[in-house]
Amino acid sequence: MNFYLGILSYAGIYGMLAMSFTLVHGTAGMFTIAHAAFFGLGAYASAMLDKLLPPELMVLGMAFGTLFAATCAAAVAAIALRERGQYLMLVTFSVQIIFSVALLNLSFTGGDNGIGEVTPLQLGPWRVKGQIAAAVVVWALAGGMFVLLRYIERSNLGRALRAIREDEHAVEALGADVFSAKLFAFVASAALAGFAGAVFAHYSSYINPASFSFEAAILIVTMSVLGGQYSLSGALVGGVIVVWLPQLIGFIGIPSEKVAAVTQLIYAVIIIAVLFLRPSGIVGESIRRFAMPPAPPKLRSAP
Amino acid sequence: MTAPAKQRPAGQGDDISLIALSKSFGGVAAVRDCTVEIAAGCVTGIVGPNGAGKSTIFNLMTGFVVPDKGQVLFRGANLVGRSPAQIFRAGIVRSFQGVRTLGRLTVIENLLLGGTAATALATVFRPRRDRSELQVAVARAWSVLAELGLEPAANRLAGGLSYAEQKLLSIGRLIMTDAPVVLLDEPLGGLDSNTIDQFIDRVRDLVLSHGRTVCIVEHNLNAVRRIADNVVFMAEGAVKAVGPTAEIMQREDLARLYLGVVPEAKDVA
Repeated sequence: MNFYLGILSYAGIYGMLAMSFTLVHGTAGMFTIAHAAFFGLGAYASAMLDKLLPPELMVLGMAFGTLFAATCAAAVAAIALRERGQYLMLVTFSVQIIFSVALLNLSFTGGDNGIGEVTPLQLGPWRVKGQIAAAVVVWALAGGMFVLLRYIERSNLGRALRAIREDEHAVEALGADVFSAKLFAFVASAALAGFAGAVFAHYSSYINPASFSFEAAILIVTMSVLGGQYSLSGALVGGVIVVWLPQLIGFIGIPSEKVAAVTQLIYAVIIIAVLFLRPSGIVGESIRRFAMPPAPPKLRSAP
Repeated sequence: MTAPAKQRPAGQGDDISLIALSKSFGGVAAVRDCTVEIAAGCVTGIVGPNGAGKSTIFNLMTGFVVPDKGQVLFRGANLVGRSPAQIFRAGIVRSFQGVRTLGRLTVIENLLLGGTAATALATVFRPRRDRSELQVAVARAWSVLAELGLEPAANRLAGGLSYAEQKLLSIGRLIMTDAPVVLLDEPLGGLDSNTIDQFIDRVRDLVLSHGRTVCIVEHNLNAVRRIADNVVFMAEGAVKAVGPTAEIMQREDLARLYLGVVPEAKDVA
């Protein structure tokens, strides 16, 4: 039972990560491949601060992890967002590679071994005990993130971001501050990825560079493309599937040492299949309908 | 259909003054020393052969291209060096060649952008203001849809509209903005003659009924004759003539320039 609850919690954490990716990629149309790095920045910052803070103040550490990821994203964006298209992809690709290599080699992050004995999730004085409570907390956080992102998506800014995704200049000519809007999407998305990282660090109590590698970055793209890259619920679906898939493969009798390789292969097949058969993924972009406003009431003349 | 040409003293009110605008791309002068007054409340046509610099003029006026030198004066301010978004806020909006509808947004969402894009970033974490701005824009969008005859398509993806409908929608987007100055870049390109007739009427009615200053780059000279009060004639990056439409359109020397006929020996000075 605990095993399944663990999977469920990880699905919620990766669902959050995939939703954060939806904001920058699905909504705003910016292809970034550094999301595993922002996920890692949040996780490491939060885990390292955990060693200094009393457990009651864990929320502060997680908030710092979130802000730290956002700050790093702002620095990357300042360089990368001036240019269009592939340039952003190249810059974020480099950031991801540099981050992965640095994590493996820096001694203060624990190098290859990572950081262990991170305090399990605790909200103020309340310790989240047991797998059920942990799963509930993780999914409540994922729900909160869903609500926040859905609000942004449906706001005037969300519409402007989708328009920027389609044709940046056309939206600029309508008065939108395109650079600031893209900066917002990029930084907010990285902040949420960092937050997911902080939850990940405290949930799993142990982090190492493997979770934030280039392969992990590809995994995030896989979740998004499979579940539906233009949809928040699609991101959640993608997160759940991608977390479950290796377990399923384990069940069908493939030897455990081959599961990783087989999983990679299956992801590759899935991405290609989805792009050919259903480019918008399992859950498509939802279309918001606008009703005609009721006719204004006729003015009655004063008696 | 043709409104009488309006005569007003230059440089006043919402007139736009282009002063000595120049822009070269890699040694090729796209626009050379252009000085033009665009009168407020009028429709000004910009005509000339391909490569005359007409679209570049629009790009220079709207901040998409920064001129090498010269000024764009509007309401007492020089717009050169400002971003497209800042120039929009100053009151100038433009369309682009071809269709630039946002295909995976619905028709009404395309219109809503005209009313909300400029303030979107400022309202995102102010739910009340965000919603009230949207409500105003939605009501406005439905009336624009009615004017354009696109009501039935309101909640369909804009990418599914016909070419002519998409062109119409891009005009609607400009109407939604309330900008006092509208620059139209080849709004009739690729339309058949019946559609053009409807389109001209719509452009004139819609734009003029909202009391705007309009500048139109167009290759369809018949349309320009019907729609424009004044004409600016450009060739090889320079302004060759400016004046009331009827006068400019009759000049044979300009017609030769337009058609690219080699000038006779005596013209070559």
